[in-house]
Order: sequence, then structure tokens, then C-alpha cells
Amino acid sequence: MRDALALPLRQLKELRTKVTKESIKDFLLSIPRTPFNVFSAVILALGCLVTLLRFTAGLGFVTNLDDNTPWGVWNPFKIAGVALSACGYCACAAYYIFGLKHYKAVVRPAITCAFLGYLIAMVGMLHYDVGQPWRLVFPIVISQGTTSILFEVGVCVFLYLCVLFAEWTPAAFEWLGWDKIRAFVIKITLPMTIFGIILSTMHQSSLGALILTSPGKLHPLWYSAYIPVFFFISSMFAGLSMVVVEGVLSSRWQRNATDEAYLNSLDGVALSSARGCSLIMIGYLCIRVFDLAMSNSWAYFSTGYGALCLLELIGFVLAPAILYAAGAREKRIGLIKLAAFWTVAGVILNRFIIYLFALNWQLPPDERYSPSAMEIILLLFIVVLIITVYRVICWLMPVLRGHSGYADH
Amino acid sequence: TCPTGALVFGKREELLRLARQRIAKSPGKYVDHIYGEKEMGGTNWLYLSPVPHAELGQPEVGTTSVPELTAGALGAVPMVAGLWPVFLGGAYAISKRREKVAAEEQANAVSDAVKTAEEKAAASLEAALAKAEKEKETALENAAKEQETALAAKDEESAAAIAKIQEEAAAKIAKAEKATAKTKAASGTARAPAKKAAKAPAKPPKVSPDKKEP
Repeated sequence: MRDALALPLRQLKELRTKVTKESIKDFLLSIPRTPFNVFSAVILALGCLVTLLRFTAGLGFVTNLDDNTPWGVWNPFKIAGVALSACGYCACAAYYIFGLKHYKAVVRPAITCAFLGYLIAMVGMLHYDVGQPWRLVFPIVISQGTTSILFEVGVCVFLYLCVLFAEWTPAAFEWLGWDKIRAFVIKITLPMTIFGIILSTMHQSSLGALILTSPGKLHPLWYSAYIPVFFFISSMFAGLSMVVVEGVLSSRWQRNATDEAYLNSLDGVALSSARGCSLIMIGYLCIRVFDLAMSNSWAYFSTGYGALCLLELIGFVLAPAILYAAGAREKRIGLIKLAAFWTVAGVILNRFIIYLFALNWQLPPDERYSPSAMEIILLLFIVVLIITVYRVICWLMPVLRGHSGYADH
Repeated sequence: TCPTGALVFGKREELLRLARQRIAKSPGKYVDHIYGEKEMGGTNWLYLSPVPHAELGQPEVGTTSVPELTAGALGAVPMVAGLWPVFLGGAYAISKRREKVAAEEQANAVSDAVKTAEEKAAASLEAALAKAEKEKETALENAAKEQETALAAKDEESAAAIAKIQEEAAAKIAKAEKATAKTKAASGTARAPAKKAAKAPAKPPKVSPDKKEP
């Protein structure tokens, strides 16, 4: 399968040398009208419209939010996005810290994905929720609230975004041919990786700790003093699974942006990730069950929320963990790929339960929140935006492939 | 619209005292509860109400302050920041060390293999040389033996030839003697010179073949 975006390369080169109305038109018309490209274009256009409405007509016009639910469907989406962006620190830890050499080819795609996840899904989307983008730096430079968990979240996002950007730049520098600054960034890779893992640890867990402030709002089956630990541990297998998922998607849809080394390393990466994930997921399941025992919440299992909890723990933690273990044991890469998609779905489900489905559980049904069409369109817009930017970066820069001029990275 | 004095501003302690005074002064007018005194660890807004607060949409929220709920999580931050570099640095050092050891082991294994191969090659070369030497010797020996045999054969041949010559000579002598004796008998007289002549040719066969060879 060819990446349909790869075709208009010639037109883009022309665009770089001479930007005129004609050349822009030529470039846009040269993009192949495959179904996904057309869908992307429609969603991007609708998203721009919703963005305009959000910042002119306001939250009330675009969303179904109210005083009971001041954070809607965008919030769990952001938090799930951060969990999946854990692929950045997972791949870096595997390759640079634990010396798993076969992860080399997947480090850059993982970092690119994590960087875009943080930049667009977290920081970009935060603007839609809180507005007033010019005040985004206030927690860093003007009003630090060191006892607030949101302060930790803000500082970690800010610092980790910087680290991810720095880790991502070698691909851009190789594309631009800026050797000196690239050499400098490569030199500080290890300390940056360690700093990135520390920040990820705190940031992933602090997104769980945020919900500690609302003991009355979140259902007792999920509310726990250990929720920061749950978030951090689940980000590990979310990240490792995302590495596998990226491999599946890129090798299928972006094959002409890849090279042999990348394609050949995918099976080894899938096997190692499967071993890691199955272990971590079983551990995660254990601590979740121990926590239910400690809080003695068994009585809730007779309610609908109990069924949801069972579905999450058995259907989206235990089942993919077993699938991973079977795939790793029998060396069946197909099973592992299926388990990876399943696990990613499970982590997204977990974040949506905690920040949406099981929140405000005591409210009567007619006061419960459900997202508006424009909120959903904006979600799709963010997803498509990330995918499009990722495709453009992978197509231009040595992300899924090595650069012939640079042997090591 | 609120009547004048319904909203009062001031220091929290003073407001709490005022609220208690109001409740005590007019029994039955207020519920005996200051909403916000202990809720969420104590808030900066305090409410008095003639009906239970839940009816006003002021829910039970507990008495724990929010920073208390998250203090544990925030308190873990310095621990993580302090310990993670140790763990991660340690993991990095271990994996680096393992790589180094593996590389060394590989290098050792390679050099060992090279050494063994070299030794083997040297040994086989030596063996080949020794074999060649031995073969050479055998060949020489064989050659010498053949020569000897040839010489011996030659000797035998020459001995046979000598014997033949001797035989022939003896036969000639015998013939000569016979002829002499015949001549003697025919003449009937024994002459001294004839005896001497017959005796003289009989002498040579007793001498060694070398001296006799012409």
C-alpha cells in the first residue's frame, strides 16, 4: 500500500521554491483523492469551523457542558491521548535505558507520535476547554500553586513537551541537513531520556491524581488513593501497545516512507512488547483487584457499574493480557497485533470511564451530560489533524527510515 | 434580591462568630449548621440557611480539604524525581555493562577460535611436513634397497659369469690334458718337457678370478 500523501512531493518542491496562488492550487489538487484523504479534508474543514465557533460564540454554543459537568468528552480524550503518547517514553526506555537494540527503528516514530499527541491532543485541545490561550503560561511564570495537583500537571506537560520536541528534532535536522545542532542533540540524548521518563512518570500519574480531588463524583469502584499508580502502570502497556499499533499502521499505509531496517525490526519489537505487556497487565489487574478488596466495594458489582468494571477488568485487561502471553509464547505475531489494538482500546475505555462514564454517577439521568455533535466533530478533527501531520512528517523526514548520511542515532 | 446585610464580608474568624451569634439569637430561624465552616476543610464562603443545605443544592462534600486528598500524590513527586535517575541510571549501567561483557566474551571467543584454528593449522602443517619427510625417507630407503638389490643381482651375474668362465677354462684344461695324454700315449715315450707343459696350464684356475680376468 502506498501512502497517498507521498505522491504530491514534486508539487511541494515547486511550492517551496515559488509560492504563488497557482502553485498552492497545484499542490492541493495534486493530493490524491483517496477515500481517507477526502474524509480527512472534510473533517479538517468542519473542525476549523467548530474552532472558529468555539472562540467566537463560546463554550456554551459549541458544547453541552453545564455546572455539574464543567469538563466534557474532550477531557477523557486528552487524558487517553496522553496515555497513548506513553509510546514515546516506553520506546526510549526500552532502547536507550534497557538496551533492547531491536527497538532502534521504532524509537523515532514513537517519539514523533508522542510529541504530536502531547502537542495537539493535550496542549492544543486544552485551549478549547479553558480558552484564553495567552494565559497558558501563567502557572509556569506568574501564579505557581505548588500545593495544586493541576500545577504539577501543567509543569510536567510543559517540561515534557520541551523534552519530546528536543528528542524529535534530530529527524528534522537530518532532513534540513543541520549537522552541528543535530550532533549536539544526539549527545544529550541519554540525560534527556531519563528526564523524559521522570516527567512521564509524574505526568501520567498526576492525571490520575487529578480525580482524587473529587471523591464524591467518581464511582467508588474506580476511586482509589492508588489511582495515580494505576494511571502510571497502565500507561506502560498503553505505550508499548501503541508502539506495536504504529508498526502495523505504518507498515501497511506508509510503506513507501519506511525502509528495510524498520520493517524487519517490527516482529522482534512486537514479541518483546508482548512479553512486557502481558506481565505488566497481569500485575496491573492484581493491584486493581487488591484495591477493590481493600476498599471492600464488592457490593457494587450487582449494579450496572459493576458490570462495566467487570467488562473493563476481564474484557480489556485480562483478555488482551492472555492474548499477548499466548502470542509471545507461540510466536504468533498476528495474535500480538490484535492484542495491541485491544489493549489500546482498553486503556481508552478506562480513561473514558474515569473521566466521563463513572463521573457524576449519583446525578439523576436527566442531569447527566452527553456530548454535542460539535464536540464529537472536534474530537475527530484532533485525531485527523494528528494523523495528517504525522503522515506529512514521516513522508518528509527520516522517521520511519534511516537517513543515508547519518549512520547512528 | 437580598435584604441589606444578608451578605457580610470580613475575616473568617469574625464571620464564624457572627454566624454563631445569629443562630443563637434567633432559634428556629436557621438550621444549626454553618455550611462552609468544615466542608472541604473549610471554605471562604459561609452560608446560613433556614432549610437543610441539601435542599439548596449544597451537597454533602465531606470535611477533607482538596490539598489533603492530593498531598500524598504530590508528596511522591520529590521521591520520584530523586530516585528515578538512580533506578534508570542503574538500569542503563547494567545494560551497558552487560553489552560490554557480551562484547568482550564475543571477542574472547573469536580470538580463542582463531587461536585454536591457528594451532590446528600449525599442527596439521607439521604433520603434513613429517609425513612428507617420512615419505621422502621411505622413498630414499626404497631407492637404496633397489640399488642394493640391483648391485647384488649384478654381483650374482658376474659370479655366474666367472663360474662359467672357470668352468669353460677347466673344461679347456681338461681337454688339453686329455690331448696331451693322447699325444703321450701315441708317442709312447714320456718326455720331461711334455709333462711340464701339461702341468703349467692347470695352475691358473686355482688363482682368484680378479687376477685371472683378462
